[in-house]
Amino acid sequence: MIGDLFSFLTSSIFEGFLTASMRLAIPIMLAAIGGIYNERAGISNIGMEGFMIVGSLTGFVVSYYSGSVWIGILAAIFLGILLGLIMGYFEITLKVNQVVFGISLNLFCVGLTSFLFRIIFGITSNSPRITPLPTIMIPILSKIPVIGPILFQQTALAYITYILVLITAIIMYRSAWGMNIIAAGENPEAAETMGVDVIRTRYYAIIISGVLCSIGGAFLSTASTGLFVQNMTAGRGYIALAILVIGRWDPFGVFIAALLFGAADALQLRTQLFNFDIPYQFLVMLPYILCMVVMIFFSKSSRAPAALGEPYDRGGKKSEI
Amino acid sequence: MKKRVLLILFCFVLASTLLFAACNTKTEPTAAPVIEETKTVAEVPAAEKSADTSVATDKKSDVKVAMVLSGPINDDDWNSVGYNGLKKACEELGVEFAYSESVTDADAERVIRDYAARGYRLIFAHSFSFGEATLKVAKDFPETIFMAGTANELTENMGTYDNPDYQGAYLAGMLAAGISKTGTIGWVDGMASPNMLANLHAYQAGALEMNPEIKVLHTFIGSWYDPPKAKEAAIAQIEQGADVLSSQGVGVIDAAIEKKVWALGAMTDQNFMGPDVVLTSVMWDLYPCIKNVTQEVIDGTWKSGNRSYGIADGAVYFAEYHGLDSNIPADVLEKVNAKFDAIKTGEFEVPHDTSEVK
Repeated sequence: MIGDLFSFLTSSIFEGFLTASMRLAIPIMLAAIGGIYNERAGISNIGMEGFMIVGSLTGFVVSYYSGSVWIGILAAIFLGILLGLIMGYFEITLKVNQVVFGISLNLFCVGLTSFLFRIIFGITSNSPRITPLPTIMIPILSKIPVIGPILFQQTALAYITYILVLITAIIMYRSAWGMNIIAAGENPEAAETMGVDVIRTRYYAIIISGVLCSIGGAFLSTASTGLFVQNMTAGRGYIALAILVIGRWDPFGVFIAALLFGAADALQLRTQLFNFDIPYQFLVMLPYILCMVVMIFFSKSSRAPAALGEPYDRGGKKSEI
Repeated sequence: MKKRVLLILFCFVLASTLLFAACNTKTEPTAAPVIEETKTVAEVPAAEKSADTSVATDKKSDVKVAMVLSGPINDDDWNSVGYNGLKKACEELGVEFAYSESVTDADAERVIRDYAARGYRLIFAHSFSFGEATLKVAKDFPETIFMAGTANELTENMGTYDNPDYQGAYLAGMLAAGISKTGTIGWVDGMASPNMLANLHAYQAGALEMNPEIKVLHTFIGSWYDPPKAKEAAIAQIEQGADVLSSQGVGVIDAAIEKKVWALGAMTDQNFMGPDVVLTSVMWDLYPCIKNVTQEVIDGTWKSGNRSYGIADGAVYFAEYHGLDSNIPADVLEKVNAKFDAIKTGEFEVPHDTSEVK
């Protein structure tokens, strides 16, 4: 019995499912980890989808011309900083409605990236390709049943993601700066009284968010596949918002939630092959339904930062816009 | 302070835009906006004009052709086929043409109506989902001729064309089953549109003819353009033992490269995506259809109905093997070629089945 279970857990089909779960989770996880910073600081970022697609394009184009995926990812980070600054300027300095700005940024970025891709490569019948990042098997660790395939049979960008999760946890729970971020998102007036520069903290948070979303997008075009097509993020930035809520704005919670979503997606792709008497449309819905169901159970215990989405005014005046 | 930040931001945006533009060395100057792009081709070269009879030339010059597409024209797939066919046919006939790409179903009627109002005599609505929108516009513009891709309802000035690439899918199924060593082959698709279902059924039928024991896996990812997901779907099939994959979406070939299995492209020659693994592609060429229809409109002989250009018309065929045909057993290749000829002569009819699959 236990032997059967063990041989199932180490079978190539089950291991394939586990590695696929993490591969599908990484881009969403990166964006959602970024979301922790800005939402904890009290800024909502509906524009994650837009950040991601810009990251996808930048990562791809720069990798293509420089010949190095890592230079492409660096460029994506640079664009992430830029987008974070733009969003910060609108949402923190100008105090525009954060939901409206986020959505318009998404629509703008989808159009912009398609346009730029066409400008750069023209209309060719041979769409450009790059060699994606290879899978790196971590010696010894990758051989551990279940944990090995999930965590240690991935691309380098996935390993960087794990480190980012850890760093985020340390920043949020073990550093003074993390406390400042949380304070800025819970009670900005009190934080300011205690000497925290709320505006600056929020700017840093949104820039970090931009960078992580952008890397998440670049993962799609440089690690998952080595190509770019318009709107290739396909709603992953929006799902990251849901993952953020399910993960309760906690780095490890987000890690687990994203992994669950990835596992549901990997599972439905495999379930389709068994020709069960279920229309494929229902299987395609599976990860999204799971998200909603989990949210029903978590809605009571999950609490958003108190000042989330509220613009902060130094004089204590509430903005009207 | 605020102003300075703004200034720096604008400089960044400007700089990055220039950077992108600077990379643009290989592009033709005609590449322009994304959503609604209109490209006009110059009139017929003088030499060609003089060779023709003057009456015909006069007629030619006032017919303008437009195409409305549901996706980007460089998708190496459905929309590339539409655009390439339009471009080749219109340039050859020397007529002016225009197109709008990435038009959503909700916008289709407005875009089609706009072309009709601007005096385009012949309008192609290149998506199976544009039928209804085309019908509405066709009623208001009885002088304009409309051709909608796989539409159900037709009128006197609205015809349809379908893509019998399922004939090619049958051959692809035979080929896949013939070269498979594991006895399992795969099919990764976006959504179950009628055309895709016809293709899948034909692929299965072809595979079963070649090897009655063959197992055909199929997955729909629920989206036309999601390469990472298509790749994951393909990897899942490979893990279940599939060693030949029919690629109906970007990303499948990438999985084939990574896992070293065979892939069969669709719509255009997709060998460039994986020169070592894309054995061949089922090609669909819309050029003969567009050329004939345009010529008929010019001559005034056009009649409503369904235009079906398949293997017999040279519109559906296999792309070249790019030197990979040495991997196909001789008897398999022989059978596939014989079947191709049988379909061409009408001796064999590929079953057309658009029923839902599980």
